[in-house]
Formats: sequence, C-alpha cells, structure tokens
Amino acid sequence: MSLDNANPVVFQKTTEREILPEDEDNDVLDEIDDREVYDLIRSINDPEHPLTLEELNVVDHANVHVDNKKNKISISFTPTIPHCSMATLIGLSIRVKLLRALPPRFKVDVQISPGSHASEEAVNKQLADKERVAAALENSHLLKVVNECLTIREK
Amino acid sequence: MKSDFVHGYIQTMDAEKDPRNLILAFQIARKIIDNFSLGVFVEEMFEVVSCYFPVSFSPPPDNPHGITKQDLVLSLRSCLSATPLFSEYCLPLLLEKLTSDITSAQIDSLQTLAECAPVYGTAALKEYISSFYSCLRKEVVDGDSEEVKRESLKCLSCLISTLSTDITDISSSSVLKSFIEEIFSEYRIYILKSDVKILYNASSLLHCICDANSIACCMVLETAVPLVLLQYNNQTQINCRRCLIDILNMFISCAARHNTEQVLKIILIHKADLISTYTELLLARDKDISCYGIRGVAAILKCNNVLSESEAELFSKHIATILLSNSDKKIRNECVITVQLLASQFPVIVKSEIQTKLIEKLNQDQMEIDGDSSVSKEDLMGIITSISHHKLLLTDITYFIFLQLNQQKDKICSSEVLTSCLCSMVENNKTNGDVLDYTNTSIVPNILQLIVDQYQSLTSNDIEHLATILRISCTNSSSSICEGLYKQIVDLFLHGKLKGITLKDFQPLQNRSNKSQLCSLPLVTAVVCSVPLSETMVNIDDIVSSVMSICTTTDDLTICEYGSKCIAGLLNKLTESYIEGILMDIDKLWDGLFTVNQSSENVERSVILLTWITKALVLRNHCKAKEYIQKLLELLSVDIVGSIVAEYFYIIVTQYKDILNSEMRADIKMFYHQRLFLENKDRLVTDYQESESGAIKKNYLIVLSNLMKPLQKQVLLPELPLLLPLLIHSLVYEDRNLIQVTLTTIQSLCENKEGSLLLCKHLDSVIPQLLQLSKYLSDMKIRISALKCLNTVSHLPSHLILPYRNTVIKSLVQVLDDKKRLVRNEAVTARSKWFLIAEPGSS
Repeated sequence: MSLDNANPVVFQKTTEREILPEDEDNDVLDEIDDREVYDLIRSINDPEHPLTLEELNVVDHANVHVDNKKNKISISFTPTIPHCSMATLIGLSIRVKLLRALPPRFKVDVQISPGSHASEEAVNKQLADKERVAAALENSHLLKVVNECLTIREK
Repeated sequence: MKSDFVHGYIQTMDAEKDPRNLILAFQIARKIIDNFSLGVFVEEMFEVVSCYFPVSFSPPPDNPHGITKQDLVLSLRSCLSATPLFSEYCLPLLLEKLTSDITSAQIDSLQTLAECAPVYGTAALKEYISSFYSCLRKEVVDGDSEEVKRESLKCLSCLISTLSTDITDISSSSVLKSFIEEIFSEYRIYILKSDVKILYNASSLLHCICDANSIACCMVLETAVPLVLLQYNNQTQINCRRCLIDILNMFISCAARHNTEQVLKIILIHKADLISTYTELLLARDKDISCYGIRGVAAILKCNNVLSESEAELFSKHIATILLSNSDKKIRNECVITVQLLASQFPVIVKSEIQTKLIEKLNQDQMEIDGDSSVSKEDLMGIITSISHHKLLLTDITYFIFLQLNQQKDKICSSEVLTSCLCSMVENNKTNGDVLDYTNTSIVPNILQLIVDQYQSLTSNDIEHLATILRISCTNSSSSICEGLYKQIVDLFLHGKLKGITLKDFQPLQNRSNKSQLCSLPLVTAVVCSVPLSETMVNIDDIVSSVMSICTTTDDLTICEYGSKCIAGLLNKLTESYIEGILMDIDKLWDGLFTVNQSSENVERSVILLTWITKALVLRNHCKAKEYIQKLLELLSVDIVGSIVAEYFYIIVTQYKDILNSEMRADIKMFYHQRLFLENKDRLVTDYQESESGAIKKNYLIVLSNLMKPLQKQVLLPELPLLLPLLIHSLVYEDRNLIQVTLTTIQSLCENKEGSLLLCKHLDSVIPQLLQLSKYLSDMKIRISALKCLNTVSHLPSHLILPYRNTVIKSLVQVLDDKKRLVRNEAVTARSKWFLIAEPGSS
C-alpha cells in the first residue's frame, strides 16, 4: 500500500500538563476543560505513520472547545493533505476515543477544519451520523484499525 | 596430522543441522581456529561455518533443550571473529547481509561486523569501508527502525576505533583521514538542505565518530565546527538555526568528553567565533534560542581551561541578566546548570557578577519588584541556593539568611523558605571540606544563638531544617568536632549556658512547662543521636532521664514524639549495662498500659513512647525486643488501646531520615523486616481468625499489612496464598491506610507470573471491590490507586477477565465524570484498556 503522504512534517509535542497543588486537593472541583479533552485525543496514533495526531498537527489545542455547562464539545481536525484518504478514519478514531473516555452527558461534534479537505462535507456528514458510526464499528476490520489507533504505545 | 585433522573436522561438520550439535560444532571450530594452523583450508573452514550466517532458528514451543537463537548467534559470531584470515571472505558476506530486508539479519550483521572489525584490522577494512559506511548512513539517515539505527552507530564506533589504532598525528594521511574527508563531502550536501530531521540524523553519525576516539574527534571537529558555524550564519530559517546550534553544542560536548590537549586545541582555534555566537544567542529574545546558547556555554565550560576569566565574566553578566528578568522555568534551569559549572571554575566571578546582583534584588522593596513582575523572592532564594557550591559563595547568603531570621517582621519571605534554603546549601555541599568547616565554625553557632533568641517564632518545619544541618555536621565531621558540638548542646539545653554565659530563661530540659522551648528537642536528638558514642560523653544519664520525664508528662503528642525519637536513638546505641536500668523503668510503663482506667491521652502517649522504644530494640535485635513486640500484639485485642497500637505500628517498619538510620550510626541488623514478619505472621493470622469483633480483626489486619509493606516480593510470595484472602477482606474496612497498602500489594502482584496466577483465583471478590473503591468519595488517592489496580488487572490473561469486561466498562462511566482531573485521567486509561480486552486490533 502506498502512503498518501510519505514524508510528513513532524511537530513538537506539548509538554505534559503541570499538576498544581489544588489538583491534589480532594475538595476542589476540577472542571473538564479544553486542555483535558485535547490531552485525550492528542495521543491517538496516525493510521499511516508511527506518529501521533499531535505530532502531525492533525489536532491542535486551539481547535478543541469545551462548554461544560451546556455539555457541548466541538473539535475540528486538519488532515495533513487535502486528499488524505484517511480523514474519515481519523475522525472515527477521535469519536470512538471520546465515546470511551468522556462522560455520556457531553454531545461531541467532530469536524474537519473548514477548507482543509477536498470532500469535507461528505466526511463531516458521515462523522455526525450516529448510526453510521455505530455501523462502522460493527465491521471488525474497521474496528481493528480504530483500536490500533487508540492503543497507547508503550515506550 | 594437523592439516588432516582440520580437513576431517570440516567434513564432519559440513551440513550439520541439529542445533545442539551446532552449538558444540561452533565451539570446537573456534578452538581449532585458535590452536591449529588452517593452512590451505582457510576458505573451506570459513565456508563450513559461515553458511549458517545469519542464523534463522526458532526453538520448538516448549524449547526442551533450552537452546535459543541468541546462543547460536553468539557462538557462530565468535568463529567469524576468530582470525583475521577470514576477513577477505567475511567482509563481502557482511556487506551483502547488511542490506537484507530482515531486521534481525541486519542487526546480526551489524553486531558481527562490530566484533570482527578490531580483529581484522585497518588493512582489511580499507577496501570496504566506504561501502560499509554508505550502508550505515542509509540506515541512520533514512531508516525507520530505531534499533537498527542504534546498532549501526555502535558498529560505526567500532570501525572508527579500529581505524584509529596506531595513528598519532592528525595531519598526516591515513585511511581514517581519507574516510572522514569522504564523509564530509556528503555531509556538506546535507547541511545545505533545510530538512531538520535528516540533518540531525546525519550529524549523529559524526557525533558517534567523535565519541569513538580522540584522534577521530580531532579530525571531525577540525572541519565540522567551522562548517556548522558558517551554515548557521548563512541560514535564515529559525528552526534550522536552532537545529544547527544544537548540533554545534553536541560537537563541543564531544570535545569536552575527551578533554585531550589535541582536541581542545581545535576548540581554542574557533573560540572567538564560538563566543560571539553564544553571546548573540544569550541576548536573543526567543527563549528556545537562548536556551541553546546557555547550553552551549555549559558545553564550553566543560572543556578544561578553554575560557579565560574575562570571557567567563562576560557570560556571567549575560546570564545574571537572564536570571533576573526571566520567569520561564526551563530557561532558569539551564542557567542554574551553567552557573554551577561556572562556579566550580570561577567562584570569584560568579560571586561578584551573579550572586551579589541576586542578593541585591532580594533586598529591593517589594514595590519595585512588582513593577517588572519577573521573579518572586522565593524563586530567587531557590536560584541562589542551587548555585552556591563554594565556600566563597556561601558566606554572603548565610549572613543574609540569619539577618532575616533574626528580624521579627518584614522578612522578605517566610522563615521556612529561608531555613530550607540554608539546609539545602549545607546538604548539597556536605562532601566539600571547606563548606563543612564553614558550617561547623559559623553556621552551627549561629543556629544555636538563633534558637535562644527566636524559639518563639520558629515553626516546627524551621526546627526540622535546622536539625538537619546539625545532623549533617555531626555525621560528616571528625569525632573531635562532634564531641565539641555535643558539649555545646549539653551546655545549652541541660545547663542553659551558651558560650559560657548562663541564660536566664532558656532551659528547655529543666523547665518542662514551656512548650515552645520544648519544640526545639529535635536539635538535641540530631546531635546526641548522631555523634559517635564515647567514654568522654558526660551527662548522657541526665539527658535520658529529662527527656523520659518529658515524654511521660507532656500533654502535647508532637513533643512526646520528639522525645520518643531521642530516647529510641539512644537506646539503640548505648551499651547493655547502660540501658539495663532504663529498661526497668520502661517495664513499669508497660504495666500501666495493661491496667484499665487510663485516660486515652495517657494511653496514646505511652503507646507512642513504647512503640519507638520497641523499634530501637528490634533494630539492634536486643533480647527484650521479642518480648516487647509480643506485648504490643497482645494489646491489639484490648478495647481502645488496641486501635491506638495498630495506628502507631507503622513506626516500627518505617525508615526515618531524622533518626535510627545508618548515617546516624544506628545499630541496624540485616533483614530485620523479614525476621519481624516471619516471627509474627502466624500469631497474627490465628488471632485474627479467633477474634470475633470486627474492630479488633481490623487491628490485626493493619499490623499485618504494615509488616508486609517493606518486604521483598520473594519473601512475600510463598505466604500469599494464606494472606491474600485476608487482605482482600480488608478492603471492606474503612481504613485508608489499610486499603492503600492492600491496593499496592495487589498492584505489585500483577507484575509477576506467580502473583498474577494467585490473584486470578480471587477475581470474583477483587474486581467488585476495586470498582467500589474507584468511587471512594472522601479520598482521591484511594480512587486513583483503585483505578491503577484495575488498569494492571487488565493485563491478566484475557480469558479470565473477559467475563468482567462489560461490568467494568459500565461501572467506570460514572468515574469518567469524577470531580478530580487526576482521577478522571486514571479512569480513562483503565476504561480504554478494558475496552480493548479480546478485541480485534489489541495486541
């Protein structure tokens, strides 16, 4: 299989979130914020390269928005090239990761950053359709690829 | 006979297939090559051995003969590297296999080449070196496998070492010199491109050559340093400039690792350019760039005697400016590391150019500092502490600290910050004779004076820091200095005398009602319990009896603990005849505990003191130790007292920094943890089973879990089949420590095979307990540990845990919305792992 983008530009990883004293205080409430959700998806592996979505700049801290009160999360991601055939798969991986990692009260919206992909609308539609997402996960081959993206690599 | 034998052997070995025979055959071949002349049979011998290279062998599933692939690989390799005669056949073979598609074959070839190179020598390698290099370069620059990359660099290093043997003059022509020139003709092309990743990889080859040998390092640096500098000045892209400076820094670090005259000469030639480049970087606004500059200065400082005083002064000025104006942690750390290096070579300059300015800033009014809002005073203190590694640098700051501590108000920061900085400075330099001397002659007397004047305002943390300084002084100084210090302490605390003058109102050991004076007890403990015991030490009895009566009368449990530590430290070391009398008094205390009708405060005080005393005796394996332990265990079944004994039992197994450790010359017998556990576990288990009340059962479990905590896995494993059900049962008791210990045990069980097998039998009870504890509202640490356990449990064989998968996934949904982020993180990790159990795509 030939790669869509054989030699991608690698970006620097963000440093780990600093742990503040109030984070260790059981009586303080920490709200789920942009950074926390970004931390969930930045370590997802790219389907093609031995790199994470963060290192390829597919996901970015600035494109994750959490509204804790309204229980809404919106995320946009940027495929490395406009014809990337993996865009749907990446979107699906982000969706599944958040399905497993976020409390069910949130409504999650995953989209391609406007203007960054040739078939942007079609992909967005697929990702927004709950039933199509569920159906995709019934397909064991697809599930395997998604799980591989979500397995955290032991270093 | 000789050549016939060799010939015969070659024929015998030919076409052998059984791995058991092959291992032997390779070993015999090596012996033959070493001891016989191969004569005309060199090529035949090589053929018969090398036809197995590279080894491909996978043992049968249960591996009945215990032969691994690695055994075969190593014995074959030792044949190939046995004689230089093989070089003309072996090198082409290795070259061919280096380009193999199979990673293991590549690695095998690289390792074999590395082992053969020194045997075959420069002459044999000469013809092939360029071809080998182009293979290695391809793997390092373009390859994707990290392992192959690593092995390639190792192999290159061996090749370079071989080529550099017998070369002394770097300018005359040699195989190595022309080889390095050839490498540079390629490197020049890489360096012109702006691909950072390729440039890093290509440079790693040169760094590897530099590290291999100092001659090779000279040859590389000669060309590399000016080349990188030139390219840095021509380059406009910021990320490339950053990369080039990083590469340059690594070259200079390579030079510093060799530190030979020849290598340093080359650095000296380019010194002016390097210094102007680094100065420019230090002044840069971009913080990443100036970090590289600071690191570069550190690299140059590691090269012996390269920097002159005036250059060091220049750098010091710039770094001081950065330290005063920058609040970024990363850049500050780099500065501190560099200043530490500067201080070891130029203490006078660091003092005048950096430290003085920092202390000036400390003295400035808060108002002025708020204006530029750069560095807090606490941070400034921290920086000064970490750069002060010379007696010269200590004087001003300690003077400043004592001045501040003696001030009643308007301190620049809390007294705890001040004392902790003082303590770290002494701790960081405890092996430095000058500093230790300064500590003894100046800091310690100041501390004693401070106690007398300010005991009311010092906090318990302050006292702890000051006690640590006294302890460091006692454990590192000669015995005569220790004796002097002991005398001063006795004079001050027992007789109320300092420097010969009798003090009116400071007599902590006599006047036992003044609590704030009694809080300084840790200072007595620090000295009395760390000095080496000798005949000349007077007043030991008085100290023991005073402290003992403090412990038995005070109503403050902290003071009781201070005193108990002091008594324990002494009982652990004093001679038998000395402690006999003391122990008689102690027996009476025991009796008191067993009689009813005591106020719970009294009980708690006695339990603390007796537990500490028991610990002191257990450590030295005293004949009374067993008796005392039995008494403690007996008390576990008594109402109220039992739970107090259980609560304080951790003292016996915990190691303390401030008392009863080997630095303080305590008498600690080996394996006392094991002995304690093995001697008492049976009794505890029986008592646990026989007792009826839940509260008392809990006491036994707490003691048991404390005894288990410090044990090695090997000791614990054989006992676990008996103990594990008890432990799992302990998860239902609402005792945080007990739960925490049990969770840690479960966690460590999963890490080895026997442990996991054992745990598998109890999954039915463990998993629901863990799920429940993951929602333990009052303590987030327990929630986190429970989730970590669930995470490790997911590594157990999947057919055993699969039945629980859906329950766990469902139950953890609630934890995903925990109010603490750290808990949510663990919940996400655990839940994601459980999702993958027995799913397609999980490895």
